[in-house]
Formats: sequence, structure tokens, C-alpha cells
Amino acid sequence: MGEFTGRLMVSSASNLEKLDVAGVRMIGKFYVKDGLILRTRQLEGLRAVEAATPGILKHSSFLREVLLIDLVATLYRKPPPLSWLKELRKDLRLPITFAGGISSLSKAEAVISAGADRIAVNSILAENFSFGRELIDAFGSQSVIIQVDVRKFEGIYWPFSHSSRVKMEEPLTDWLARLDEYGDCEVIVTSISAEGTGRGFPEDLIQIVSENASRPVVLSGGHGDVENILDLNSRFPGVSFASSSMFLSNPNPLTQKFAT
Amino acid sequence: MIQVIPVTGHSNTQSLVSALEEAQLKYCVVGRAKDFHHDWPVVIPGVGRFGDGMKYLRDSGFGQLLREHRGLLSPMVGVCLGMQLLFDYGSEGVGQRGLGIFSGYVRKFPASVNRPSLNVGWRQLHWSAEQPPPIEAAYFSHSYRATEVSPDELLAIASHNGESFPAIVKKGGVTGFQFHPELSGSAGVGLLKKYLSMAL
Repeated sequence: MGEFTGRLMVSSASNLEKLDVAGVRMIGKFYVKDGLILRTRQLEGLRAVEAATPGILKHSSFLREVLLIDLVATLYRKPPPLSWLKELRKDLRLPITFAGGISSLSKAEAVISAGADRIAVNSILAENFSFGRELIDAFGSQSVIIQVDVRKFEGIYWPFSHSSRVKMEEPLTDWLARLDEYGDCEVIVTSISAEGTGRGFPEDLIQIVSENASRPVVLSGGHGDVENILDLNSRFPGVSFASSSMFLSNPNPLTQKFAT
Repeated sequence: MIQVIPVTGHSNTQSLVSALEEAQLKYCVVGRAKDFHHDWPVVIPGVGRFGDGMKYLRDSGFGQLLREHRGLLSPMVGVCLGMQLLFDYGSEGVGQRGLGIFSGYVRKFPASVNRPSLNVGWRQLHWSAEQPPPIEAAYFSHSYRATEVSPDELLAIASHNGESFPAIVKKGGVTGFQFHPELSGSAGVGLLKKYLSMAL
């Protein structure tokens, strides 16, 4: 079903093609719950938009990679939705990263066996930091993404776990330094306050996460403007982007003509 | 019948078999060496570490069978780690001998500030042959790449942090993809089908 034909070099046309030509890595991020795609704002589920499998397949021609985040799996201690993942994998010929409720090696194994290519973890690391190393040793650093959900509190950025409900014990800069112990695996940083607003990823947060970055960084939250993404891509080479609202907006900003 | 050999417990078998189904290729996942056929095509997917993959191939007996198969009677395809295992040697972990079907060494990309070794995402392919190219870009997810590869065996290259590295290698009936054709859209599925079905 994946309609993307592997052509990145095109001369003009849509915003999506412009991102491709500029070498922007844009990940389609979908918050899911019980087989539904959720519209979110600041990591709170606002409403279900559509059934997840047909919804994601419908967007597949605009997608290059997919990040699926089960918003409530950790909160409610629910197992990963393996049968749904397997169903999606059957029809989607694009990379899938899955996040939500992966709290053991056996759950990670089950998620990958169901069809995910990569797994992402956040909350479990606050309780058991060595679990990140266990995952990397088992699956390789290319298959593990560390999620860091971030919010500013009294002028300082702090990481949060459990879908932004629990503030972690050390500030973001210290947490990022600790993540160096995991080597070069990718980190996806979500600005909780910008998420779902379309008002742009906070510039001061980009500075913090890209400074001396020895690992690939994905910026998530607030993306809505293609020209802003192109600007960030040129000023912070090497960073990647993840967005849900760019794919769920109607009309889809990625299919619009690039503003010249 | 295409034989899928999952070289670690963590291989992305589901992605690969879904692509084989889309390509309408018959396959079976082979877990025991005694079920292996030397005259059937083979695909080796892979997620994980070089050392773990080679340990599995050694302990299971598949290693020797794959060396004997080497694409002589029917095609052999390696994907990502499955491609890297086809080389002489891999430096991941303590360092291991590979299957030695291709000459070369699998090493980690050098890393520096803002230039991580991990290469994830869609990358342009530059083909040495095959005009027009059957696919112009593909999805990569790896930190290691093959080095010291014979130029005659390079079918396509890609680049990461300014370094060109082998994206597709081919030697007789054996083809190795450093990227994931099964995750590279319909064109990637077509590529997988082409090299698993080619006449020898």
C-alpha cells in the first residue's frame, strides 16, 4: 500500500517535495489509543480523529516514516496493541517506530515481532535507567529511540514521564548528559507546551538539545509551517522532525504548493 | 520457494514477509538447518548486532549452509545486518568473522560532534550501473557499514556525514542491501523481488 516510489529529487511542486529535496527528515507521528488516532494538544488527547489503520494508510503517500505513540499504555499499564500493529504492518511498506508501555525485553521483542522496526521508550527509564542499555544490547542502537518529553518549569527545562504527568528528578541538561551512556542512539525531544499548537518548536530548546549533540536528534511538537522547518533544517543540520498536526490538518499543509 | 533465515531473535521478519507477500513471492521462514534447501532462494533479514547474528548462524548450522549456497543455484539476498554478515569480518562487539562471501570489513561510522555514527532515514542512491535507476532513494537504519569492498561488487552507494559507503553489493547470485528495501515503499518491494527472482 505504501505509494511512495522512492523518488526524492523533484524540481518543484508541493511542500512535501520541497522538504524531500532539502533533505529534511520528517517523521509522521500519530498518537493512538484503542486503535484510533487521537488529535492532541500538549500531549492531552482531545478527540479521536479516525480509525488508525485506514487513517495511516490513507496518509501513506505523504509519509516517509511512522512513529506510533500509544498515549495511555504506560498510564494504564496496558500491553502494546500487537494485533493492530501486525495488521498495519501487513499493508504499510514504511518504517514503523512504536512507543508506549514497553517495560520489558519480552514486550519489546513482541512489538518488533509484530512488525515494528524500532521501539521508543521514556517512562521506564526514569524508574530503571539500565533498561535502556539492555534494549540497545539486545536490538542494536539503531532500533532504539529515547523519548524525552520536555516542559519549562520555573525557567528551566525538565523531562517528564507518563505522558507528561510526572516531572523527572533531574533537569533536561543533566538527563541528556546521562543519556550519553546509551551511546549514539536517537533521541526524540517533544516540547509538551508546543505540541499540537502549530506555533513552532521553541528555539531555546533546540539550542539546548543540539548543542554538542553526539547523537541524532528528532524535534517534535509545534511544527506546522514548512518554511520554518526548512529554516531550522538549514540552521541546525542533522536534526530531524516529527509532526502529527502536519499530517492530520485538513487541508494537509504538506500537499499545498510551496510558497515562493 | 524463498527461504527466510531470521539470524537473530530480533530480525524484522514481519516487515520482510509482508513485502514478500506484496510481491506475490512464496516464502517460508526456516528455523532449522535440516529444513534448508541449497537450490531455493534465500533472504537474510537482520536487526541487531553482528556478533549475535554470527553466533546464531554458527550455533544453528546455517552459517556453513549459507557459505555453501552462496547464490550458486538460486539467488541469495541479505538485508541490513543480513548484508553485513556476508562480509569477511565485523567489528561490532568483540569482533567476529563473517560468512566471507564478500571481501571487506564491517566497521562503525566515525562519529564526532553533530556527526553521529547512526544513519537513519531516506538517502539518495547513486548507482554504478542499472540505468535508469530502479529506485532513487531508500530507507537506512544503521551505524556500521562495509569498507574495503571490491569496486566490481558495488552496485550502488549512498553517503552519510560526507562519506560514501556501499548501499548495494552484488557478486554473482548474491545481493546485499545495506538499506531496507522492504521499508522503502513499492519501489523497494520491486527491488527485492527483482534480485530474489533473477535468473542465474
